[in-house]
Amino acid sequence: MNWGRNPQANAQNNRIACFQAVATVVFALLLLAFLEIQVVNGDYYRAQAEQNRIKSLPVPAPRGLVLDRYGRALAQSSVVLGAMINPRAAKPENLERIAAGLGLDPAHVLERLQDAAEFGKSEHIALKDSLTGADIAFIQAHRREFQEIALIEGMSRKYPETGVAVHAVGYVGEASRSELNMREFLLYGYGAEIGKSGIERQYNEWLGGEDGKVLFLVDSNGHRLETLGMMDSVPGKNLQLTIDLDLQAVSELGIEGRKGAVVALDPRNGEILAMASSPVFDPNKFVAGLSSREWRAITSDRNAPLLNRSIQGTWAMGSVFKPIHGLAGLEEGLAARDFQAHCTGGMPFGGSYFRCHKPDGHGTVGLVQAIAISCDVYFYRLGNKLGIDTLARYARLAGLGQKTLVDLPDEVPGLVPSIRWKIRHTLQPWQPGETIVVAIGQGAMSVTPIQAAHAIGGLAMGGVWHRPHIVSTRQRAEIDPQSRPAPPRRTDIDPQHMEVLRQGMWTAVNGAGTGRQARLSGIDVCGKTGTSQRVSNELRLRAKREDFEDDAWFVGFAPCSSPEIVVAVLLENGKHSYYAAAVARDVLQAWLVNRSPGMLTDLDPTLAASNAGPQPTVSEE
Amino acid sequence: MRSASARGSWLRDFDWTLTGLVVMISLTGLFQIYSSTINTPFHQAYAQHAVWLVLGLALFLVASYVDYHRGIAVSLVFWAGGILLLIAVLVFTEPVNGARRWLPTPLGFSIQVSECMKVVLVLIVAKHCSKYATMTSRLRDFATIGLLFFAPFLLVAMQPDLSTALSLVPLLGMALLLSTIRMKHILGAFLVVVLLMPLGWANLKPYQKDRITGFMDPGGAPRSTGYQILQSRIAVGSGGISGQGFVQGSQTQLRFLPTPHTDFILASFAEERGFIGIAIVLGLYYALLMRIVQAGQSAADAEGTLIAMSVAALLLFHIVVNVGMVANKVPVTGLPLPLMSYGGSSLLAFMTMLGLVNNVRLSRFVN
Repeated sequence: MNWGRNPQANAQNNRIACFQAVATVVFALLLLAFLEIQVVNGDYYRAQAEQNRIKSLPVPAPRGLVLDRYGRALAQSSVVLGAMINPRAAKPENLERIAAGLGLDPAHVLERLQDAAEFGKSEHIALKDSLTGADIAFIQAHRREFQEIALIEGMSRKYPETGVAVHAVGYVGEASRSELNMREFLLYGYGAEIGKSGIERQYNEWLGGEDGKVLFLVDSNGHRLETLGMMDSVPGKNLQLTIDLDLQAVSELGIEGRKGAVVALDPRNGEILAMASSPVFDPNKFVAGLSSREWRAITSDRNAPLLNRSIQGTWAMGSVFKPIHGLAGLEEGLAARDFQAHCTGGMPFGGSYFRCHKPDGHGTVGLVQAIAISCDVYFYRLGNKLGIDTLARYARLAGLGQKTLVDLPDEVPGLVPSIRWKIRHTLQPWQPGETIVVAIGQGAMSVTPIQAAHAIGGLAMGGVWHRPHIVSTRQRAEIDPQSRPAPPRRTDIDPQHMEVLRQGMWTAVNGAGTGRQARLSGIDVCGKTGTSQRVSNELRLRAKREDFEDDAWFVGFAPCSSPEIVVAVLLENGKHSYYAAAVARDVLQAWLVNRSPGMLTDLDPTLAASNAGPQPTVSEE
Repeated sequence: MRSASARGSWLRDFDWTLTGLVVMISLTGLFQIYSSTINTPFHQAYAQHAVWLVLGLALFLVASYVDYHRGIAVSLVFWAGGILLLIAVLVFTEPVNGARRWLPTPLGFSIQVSECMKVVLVLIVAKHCSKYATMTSRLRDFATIGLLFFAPFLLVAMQPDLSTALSLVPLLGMALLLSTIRMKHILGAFLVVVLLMPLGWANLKPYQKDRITGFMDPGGAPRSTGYQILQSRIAVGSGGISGQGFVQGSQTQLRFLPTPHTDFILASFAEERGFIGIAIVLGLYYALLMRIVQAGQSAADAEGTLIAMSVAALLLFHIVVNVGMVANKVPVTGLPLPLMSYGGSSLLAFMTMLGLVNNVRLSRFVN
C-alpha cells in the first residue's frame, strides 16, 4: 500500500471504482434481461416450448361402408400406411429429394404445401396414401433428415375393383379449394378427404365420421418419445342403400361398352333398385388422386364417363311419352273409344308432312293399338286436339320437367316446353307444328332416365308417384329422425282409363307390339319403346355419323296389374329400341329370380343373356 | 517475499469468501452439466468435469501459495512457450469444425492453448504494466506491451477463434486503464477500434457473419444460428420464475437447446431453475467479481493490483459475452461461461487465475 497514497494511486482507485460501477450496471442490465424473458414473457415462451415438444397427428376415421339392400358392400375402408407432411416444418431444400424418393411431382407437392399454408387449420396434410414398401423404406432411411414427414396409419376408401354402381355411389377424394369454400365442407381443413359425388357426397357427413388426434412428445430430432394423449376417431356409419347388387350387375352388364343408363325403381315406394350409367370410371383412381393430366383426360373425354346419365343427362323421351300423352287424352275426354286415327304413313300439317315411323301406315288405330304399335299419326292428331299446354300439364303431373328430388347430388330437371316457356326463352310465338312434334316426345321436351322410370312407374300405379330414393327409408329415419318420407304425388285416374293404357303397354310387349324383346315367361311385363331422333332422318342417313344415330328407350314394368318394379333403359345412339328392351328384359329377369328363387329352373339359364338376337321382324316405330 | 508468520497464519488469512464463491459456482455448473447431458450420449461428462474440478481446485491452491512474484519473474518464459504452442497448433493440427484450437498431449487429452495463454498474459500485464503505475508512460513501453499482447492475439485469431482472441482484449484494456495513460488517449484508442469495425466485418468468416445477422433476426434462419438463439430464448423464457425443475426442462432434455452443457449452460440452467436461480447465480458472480476487485484494491503492490484487476476484467468480459448471449442481448459466440461451462481448459485456466487473486489477497500485509 506504499503507493496507495500518492496522487497517481488515487487516480487508479478512481478508475477501479469506475470499473466497479460499469460491472454493477452490466449485472443489473443482465438481470433485467432475464426478468423480461422469464417473468414478463415466461408464459409465451412456455407455450413455445410446448409447441416444440408436443406434436399431433391425425387418426383418420374409417369411412362407413356403403351396402346394398341385402348388406353387400359397394364401398369399404381399409387400413393403409400413409405419409403426412407438416407444411410449417417442410424445408424447401428437401422437397426435390422427397418427391423423387416417393415418386411424386415436386411442383405438385410445393403447390399443395402453399395451399395448405393458406388454408391453415391442419397441422399435417397427406403427402402420399397407400405407401409401397419402397416408399416406407425411403422414409425410414431419411427420418432424421426429413423431420417434416410423419407416417400414419391411414384409412383408404376401397371400391370393388372395376367399380359397382360407380355413378350412384360416387367417389371420395381430397377436397379442392373451391369445395373447401362451400358451406357443406366448412368444417374441413385443407387436405381433408370428402365425398366428391354420388351418395359419398350426399351422405358425406354420415359416412365420414370424425378424425381423431394423437398427441405425443418429440425430441428435437422429431423422434416420438411418448404418447401424451389420444382422441379416438369416431368411425363413419354404414349406409344401406335400396340398390340390389344383382339387378345392378345385370344392368351394368347390359349397357357395358355402350353409352346409356338403366334405372330400376320400385314404383310402390320409390326405392331405387338399380342405377347404372355407362361408360364407367374407376373410382379407386380418384381415391389415390389423379394427376392433372389424368384429370383433364377424364373430364374432356367426349363420352363423359363421369356423367351419371341416369340423373344428370337429358334426352328426348320419344315414344315413351305416348302413354302419358294417352292419359291426357283420356282424362280430357278426347281419346274416348270412338276416337280413332287412320294412319297412312304420315300426316300433312301446316304445310309440312309429318311421317309415321311405318312408311306404309298402320291403318285405322285406337289408343290401345296406337300405344302398342307406337303409331305416330294417332298422337299427332290427339296432340293437336289437346294443345301443348294440356300436354305439358300432364307431363308435369307425371314428374317430367322437374327434378325427382332423388337423394343424389346434381340432378337435372329436364324440360317440358309450353307456350310461356317458348316466349320467355326464344321470344318467338309457339307454332302449332311444334305441338305435333312434342306429341311424340320429340322437340324441345327432354327427360332423364330416372324421370322416365318415375313417370311410367307412377302411371302404372294408377297415378301415385313416389319420390325416388336410394337410401332406405329406415336408414333415412336414422340419419335424420325429424325427416318424414315425402308423400307421393297422387292424381285420381279413372280405373277404366288406366286399364286402356295398361292394355296398350301390355300389348306392346306381349302382343304384336314394338316391345316384344322384353317379353318374359312366367310374368306379365308391360312397357313402352321409344326411338328418338337426334337429327332429321335425312341427315342421319346421309352423314352416317355414330353420334347422329337415334337414341333408344324402353321403359317397362311388372307385373302388369300390380307393378313391383319399373325399369327404364336408355341407349345413347342405340339405334333401335329393340336393344333397350332386351336390356330391360334381362334386368326384369334378374329381379324375378330374386323375387322367387324357386322359379330359377324354369327360366332361361343365361341370365344376363347377350342382347344379340334375331333382328326385329316387324317394323317398329 | 512472504514472511514465516504469514505462512503460519494461512488458515486465518485464507480467503474463504472467494473460495466459497468459486466452489458454489463450480458445483452449480457441475450439477447443471449433469442435468444437461444425462439424456444424451455425453452423460459421462459430469464425471469428467468433476475430475477437472478437483484438478482445478488443486491448481487454485497452488496458485494461492506459490508467490505470484515468482510467476511474474518467469512469465516471459511462459509467454515464449505459449507462443510456440500456439504456432504448433496452427502448424501441426488438423482443423476441427473449420478451426484449429486443440493441442493433443501425450496424456491423451487435448488442451486449448489459448486458455492457458490467458493466465500467462495476466502475469505479463502485471510484469510490464506495474511500472507505469508510478512512472510516466513512454511510447517504447507501449510498444513492448503491444507486441507481447498482439502476438498471441493474432495467433488465436488465425485459428480462427475470434471470440477467444477478443476475450484477451480486456487484459490490455485493464492494463491501459490502470496505467498513467490519460483517459482521453484511452477514448481515442476506443474510437479507432470503433472506426475499424466495418473493416473487421469484411474480414469475418461467413459463419461469423451468420451469427451476427442471426442475432438481429432469429426468425429468419431456423436451424442455424437463428435457431440456436430462438431455442435458447424459449428455454430461458419457459423457465419462468421458479424453473421447470432439475432434469425437467423440455428444451434441454429433448435437445432443442444446442450445447446445453457448454456455451449455453446458463440457458439450460435458466430453464430448469427459473429466474430465482438466475438471480442467485448472477449474484454469486457479482459477489465474486467484487471480491476480486477488493483483492486488487488492497493488494500490497502494483503487480498484485494488476493481477486481480486483469482477472476481474477477463471474468466480466466472459460474463457479458456469455450471459448476454443467453439473455439474447449480444450475438452468439463460442465463449464459455467461466467455472460453469463444461470443459477442462477454461476451468483450469480460471481456477489458476482465481488462485493468483487469492494469493494477492493473502500477500496484502507483506512488504
